[in-house]
Amino acid sequence: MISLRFAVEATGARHPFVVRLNDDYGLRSTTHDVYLAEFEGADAVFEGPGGLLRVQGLRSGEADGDVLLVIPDRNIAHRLIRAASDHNTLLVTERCDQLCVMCSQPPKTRHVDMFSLLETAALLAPRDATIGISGGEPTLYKDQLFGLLTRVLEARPDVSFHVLTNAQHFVEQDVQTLRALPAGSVTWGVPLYSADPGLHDRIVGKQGAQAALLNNLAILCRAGAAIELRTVIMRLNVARLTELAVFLVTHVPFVTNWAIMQLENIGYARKNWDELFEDTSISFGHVASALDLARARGISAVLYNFPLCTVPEPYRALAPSTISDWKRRYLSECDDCSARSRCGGFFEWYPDDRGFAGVRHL
Amino acid sequence: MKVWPLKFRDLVDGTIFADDAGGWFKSDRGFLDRYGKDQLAPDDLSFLQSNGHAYERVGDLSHTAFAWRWASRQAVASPLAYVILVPTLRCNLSCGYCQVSRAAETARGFDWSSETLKDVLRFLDRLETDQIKIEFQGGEPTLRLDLLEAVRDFCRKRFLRSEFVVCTNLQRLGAAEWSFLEAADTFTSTSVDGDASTHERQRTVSAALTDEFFGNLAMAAERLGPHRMSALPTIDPFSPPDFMSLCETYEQLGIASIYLRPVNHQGFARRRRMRSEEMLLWNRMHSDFIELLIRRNAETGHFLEEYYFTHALRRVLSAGLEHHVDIRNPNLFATDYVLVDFDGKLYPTDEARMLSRIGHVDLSVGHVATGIDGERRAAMNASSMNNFDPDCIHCPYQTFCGTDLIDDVSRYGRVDVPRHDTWFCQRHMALFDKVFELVYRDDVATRLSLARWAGVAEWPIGLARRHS
Amino acid sequence: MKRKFVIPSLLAAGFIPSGGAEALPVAGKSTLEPERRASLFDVFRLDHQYTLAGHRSHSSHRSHSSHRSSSGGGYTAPRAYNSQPPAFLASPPDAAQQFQAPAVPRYQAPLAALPGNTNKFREIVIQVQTALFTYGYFTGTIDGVVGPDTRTAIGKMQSDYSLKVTGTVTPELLNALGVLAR
Repeated sequence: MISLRFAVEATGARHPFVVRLNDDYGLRSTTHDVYLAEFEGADAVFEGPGGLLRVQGLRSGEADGDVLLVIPDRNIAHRLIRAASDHNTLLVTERCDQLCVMCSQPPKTRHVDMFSLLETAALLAPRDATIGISGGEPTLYKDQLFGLLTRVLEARPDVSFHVLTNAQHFVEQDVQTLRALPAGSVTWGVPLYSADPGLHDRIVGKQGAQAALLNNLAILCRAGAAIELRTVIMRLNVARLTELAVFLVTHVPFVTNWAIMQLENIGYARKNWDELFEDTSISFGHVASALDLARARGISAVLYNFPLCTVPEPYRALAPSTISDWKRRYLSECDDCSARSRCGGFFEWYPDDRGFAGVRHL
Repeated sequence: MKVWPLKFRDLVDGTIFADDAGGWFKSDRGFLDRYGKDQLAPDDLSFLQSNGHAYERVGDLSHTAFAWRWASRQAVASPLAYVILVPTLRCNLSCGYCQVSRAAETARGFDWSSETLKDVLRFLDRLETDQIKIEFQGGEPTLRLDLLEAVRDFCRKRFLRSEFVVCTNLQRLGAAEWSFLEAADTFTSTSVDGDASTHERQRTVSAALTDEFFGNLAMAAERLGPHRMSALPTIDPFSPPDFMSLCETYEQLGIASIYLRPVNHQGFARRRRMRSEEMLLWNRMHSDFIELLIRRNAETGHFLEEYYFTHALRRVLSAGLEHHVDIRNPNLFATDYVLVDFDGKLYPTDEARMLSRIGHVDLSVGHVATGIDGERRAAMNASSMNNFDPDCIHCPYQTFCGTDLIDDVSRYGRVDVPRHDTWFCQRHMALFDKVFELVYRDDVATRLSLARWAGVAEWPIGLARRHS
Repeated sequence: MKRKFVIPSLLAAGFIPSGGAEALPVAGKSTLEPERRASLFDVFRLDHQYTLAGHRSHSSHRSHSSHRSSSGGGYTAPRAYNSQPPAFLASPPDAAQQFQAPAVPRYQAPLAALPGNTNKFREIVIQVQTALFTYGYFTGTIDGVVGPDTRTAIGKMQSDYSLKVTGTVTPELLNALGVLAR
């Protein structure tokens, strides 16, 4: 598992700050760049305009170009952006106005505003990076979020964003702001769990959530926004997946793609695993017909977080490797699997004893 | 709740309804009656709402989705990036129905001059694109390999990406021709009218030439591979080929997509008398061929398609298939593609240059030396959409269909004839009737083929919705 | 020689005279500026796959590779944290080993030279390689690229000259080799 935190020492600093690590002196030079000065034992010491930064357990080459958020008084640095990874996500808040039954990251009530630091980090990202924005619910702080997106995309037209949002908080006036963002530079990842309002609302734990969501999907459409619709399948909603597909091809045909997603065994999903997990390695029928229906009618439907061996052969091409590198692992069955290099594997926290019955090497 | 206008058409066992945004369903005359009398029942309304034919208020999701679907059904021409070049009109074959009004192989004055070549390269150089597709037609373009080389060399340097298609009869190929065709950015397109006897009857005439052609064809399949070679049969409905052996011929070549192209009655072909039963014959033959494919696919497990039927099916199923210039709306001429004739004149299509060539009507849109004549192009394009055609606006297939002005002029001398009287309309009516017959057919073999043709693993049962 | 046609003109074939004005909806999808995207038709016809391709890759691939899920927990909140826009900012390295509060307001001075200034760095590396070559540590191609051979040479030189051994380009190394980083 790839480490997303380092123990650090930043002598003399009191407030959080953002730096970019450089192995070589002079490659990148902003006021946020620090350069490797020496190794001391297991630590790497970086030197920059503001002083020295000691990072524990870091070797040369591992983190060149990475962007750290340093919290000096806790001696911790969060690895906000890994230069070598496609899976960089900035978490802008832990507050949320929904409470999904399978939430992988249960919300907290407290909000610490780090927008400014995260914006600096985004500005320091490697060329052509796609940066994820996640929460909590990022649009609870819509003004800060729009400001961040607008300014970063202005300074860094090569960068693009993927924002996860429950789309509860868009209003008609946002159309102008959204249209002013460079076309195609922001993709909004929006979850919809069922065409049935009651079922969707129950899953997300909020009355009227689906009605607000559908209204706001229309707003996003009129803003020309790129939308990735996301549906985590559970025992609660899998039987009605084809119904959802019919709904989408008629009422939400404008999405860039529709991700049908397997459950991640963490957060509330871990707690409620037995009631929620649908073993698609045994019965793939609902997923298959939803995929076929959506794709035949022009919606690019795909599978996220499905190990290839759990997917019938005709649908495997629709299951790209999606599990982020830092939380991916492979099982013993994967050792001699011919599909391993194409397969996203399993979540780090995948429960071997309560997972897919049909795991096998291909 | 407000209901969008619906158009309808009776099929054998029900009535097809469709709206202007490409939504459709099957119902019956009872529903039509209620719809016509404005006496829709609550479950009628709830069906219409769920199938995208109604909305509550302007700007709600149903309304926005309808507007989006409507917009996505309109063809939008991209910048000019596809140029058909006719470097020579001369040909080494003399097919009975030649569609290009060819010149004899030894004739003079039917090739580009060196001045024309210069003009062509200058014309290409000025295009506002960094990606180009060039299609070499003729005559037989390989008779002027030197011109093909000159164009290809130029394009490879000028454009970021360039692709070349050589439309050749594969009749006479030496080492130089083969080496030209074998380049990775070059594709070969040819005509194979069926088995050897059909091809000989329609094209090669002599047994020796037929053998030569099929020899080269086999070699092309081997040397170029199916992904860099395409072929299509030209079909005369009055003397069709044996379709089973046509399928075998194509399958052996590794080509799974067969585009039955009707003989086009212009050029030399125009000398043949047009017969009224031609349309009926064609439509019946095409429908029979689709049924043959369905049976054959189910039996062999090797899937073949009729290219144009698959395209029509996909246009019924979803938006976004606006790339086929034979069927799109509006069908904008001389916009994203244009043809340069042997004398440097520009034409919107291959058919347009033939009509002009035989003295029927001048459909040229400028000259390669001076560029596209915007005024003439605008005149053509003003009539190139079916949106306001008095017949089309009542047709449930309007959204899936297109226009073909050139064909209308060719057959009827005018573009403003009653739509239902035209070959284009009658052919496409039958085509879409067939599509809707099949998507509502409850039959395993049909579903197997439909799924393949729609590009999915299994045909989704709930896709084609019914309301009663 | 004027050719004669059976149908003498486009008008005679039923084409409507256009008045000469062309009104073609030509796409140019990726280049539409926001202010030109006024019509809903244009907005609806935005091809996200196409415009995304302008940046790096096809959108469908992109969304695969940049798939988001939970980010792995929140950030540790600082014990002491003021809501001032923080930035890590300049003071000469040897002046004070202190991280300082920002002196320059953000957004007026956007970060310069993002995400890297490759050409300048390349020149530095060429000088480093040349010097290492002269000192006999480096026998590879002088190409301005810090490859494994260059790293080995740097490490060896750092060790021999009692510099801090990193195998990377450091200010100390540049000093020792007499290379100016400006």
